[in-house]
Amino acid sequence: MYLSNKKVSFCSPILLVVSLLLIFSGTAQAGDWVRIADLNGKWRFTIGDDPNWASADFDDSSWEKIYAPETWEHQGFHGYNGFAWYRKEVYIPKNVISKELYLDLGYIDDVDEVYLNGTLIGRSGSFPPNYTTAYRAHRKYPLPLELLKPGEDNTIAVRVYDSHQRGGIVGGDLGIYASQLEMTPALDLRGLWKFKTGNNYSWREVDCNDQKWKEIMVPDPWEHQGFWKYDGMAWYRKTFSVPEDMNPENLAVVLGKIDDFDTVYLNGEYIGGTNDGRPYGRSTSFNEMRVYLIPEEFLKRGEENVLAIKVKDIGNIGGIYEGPIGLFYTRDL
Amino acid sequence: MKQLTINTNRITMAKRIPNFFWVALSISALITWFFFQDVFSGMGAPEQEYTSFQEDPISLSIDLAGEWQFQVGDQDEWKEKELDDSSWDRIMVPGYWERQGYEDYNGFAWYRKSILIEESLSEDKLIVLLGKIDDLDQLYINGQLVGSVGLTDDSRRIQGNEWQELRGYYIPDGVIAYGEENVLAVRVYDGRVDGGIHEGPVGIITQENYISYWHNRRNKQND
Repeated sequence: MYLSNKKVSFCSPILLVVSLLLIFSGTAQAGDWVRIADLNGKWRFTIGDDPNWASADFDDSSWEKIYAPETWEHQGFHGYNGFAWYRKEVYIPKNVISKELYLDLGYIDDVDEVYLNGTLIGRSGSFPPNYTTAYRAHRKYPLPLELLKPGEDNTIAVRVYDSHQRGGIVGGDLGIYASQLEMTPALDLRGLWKFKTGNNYSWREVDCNDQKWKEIMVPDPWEHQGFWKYDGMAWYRKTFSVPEDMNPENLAVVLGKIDDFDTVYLNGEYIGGTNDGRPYGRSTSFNEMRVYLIPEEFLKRGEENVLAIKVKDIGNIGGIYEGPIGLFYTRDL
Repeated sequence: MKQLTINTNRITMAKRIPNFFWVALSISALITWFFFQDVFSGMGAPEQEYTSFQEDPISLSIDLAGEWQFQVGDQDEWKEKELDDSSWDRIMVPGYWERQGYEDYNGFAWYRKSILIEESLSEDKLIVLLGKIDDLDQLYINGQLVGSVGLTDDSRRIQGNEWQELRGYYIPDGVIAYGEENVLAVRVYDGRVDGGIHEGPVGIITQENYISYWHNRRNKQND
């Protein structure tokens, strides 16, 4: 009996620490970037080297297929050292308004050169004869927007050289990422909001007097702003004017990510909420991007509008902690 | 009777202590794993199994197996096309130099061979296959560096498995004199035990043939 009690009391704080670590690693990876194309999976592949293989028009249908990320040694090219090319077609959505895109090719053993639609956009390491490996470097290449063909397939061609041992695109999470902060909001609502801990249903109303409420930066966890370790309910309010000529169709409120649950009212009317109903440690609501469509009739053009958000934090950091924040046309998302 | 009681107590104590110990150990192992899982996954990667390349048919344009000029030592001018190597020793390639009169020799040695590369081979990219070399090497053609494993002009670094790695050096444009004699010079460094170009294939292959060679190898494995 003595033994088993002792075990439990010793285990639980450690388990707590481990679960906290898991949660932190989840939020840390979220970042300010969204993946707009997944490049993990099958690629066209050949050994050899030919500058024509960079071209968007080149027909690679007779090439091998291999998976990336994974060493080519594990996929039938055991013992191969030297040049090889990877090619993949990737559809870029039409409405990528983001000013900043990057291509993540993870880890490549040893040297690579990347072409987008036939144009060189990046290189790591140095090809022979003056060879230098870059196998430790995380390949993140900015994608020049002028080379992109939105709404079409784009060709990514990767020239790889492996000196010896394992080779190829060997690790990472491959894709094209867009900066969320660079998405163009119809109305940017980042900045100072009114904030009050506690809960009162009347705080959703337009005529609720929030003059004496505290001010808080959005997005940023409230732990960073004087509410250290506060768990429980709190309300955010923002008053903003909507231009007369703003098109009210297909508008959405984007509230980034909120830790943990939220209920959102526009001008006193409920427009959405997120709550997966799971307890602390198992809930993943904190990692969900909040996008709530605005029913046209709720938006008051040429007038002040009020967003009121009830947030419930069930543990650890709390609040609207990550952007983007604002009104967005759905085509821009 | 008395002795038996003592033993029982001992067993109980002995049981308790390891219980604490194992719980603590497994938890710290869990935490360690969490932080270092990337490192561990690298460590746990299966050892590469090295296969022979001679068992598959390979269509070389020029077979370079046979006698090469050979000289122990290391001099920069030995890479030059015009060097007179007629006084050098001769050695069979592939084969360890230990078995050809250089027992216990470790360090640098150079291999040289002069070959005619026909005009007809200028259509495709060419690759020099040097098989497996124990341990490190640099390949020069007509005095120009073409490729290397582990060696630069002023450094060397043995990781340990280079002697099992196949050398296939893509010849950059402008290096070969087509229709003429070309000189291959291979600078080899052996760290310990056996040394030299020890296993084939050794030769020059077109890129097209090399691609189909690997294609066939791969499909044979998939069958």
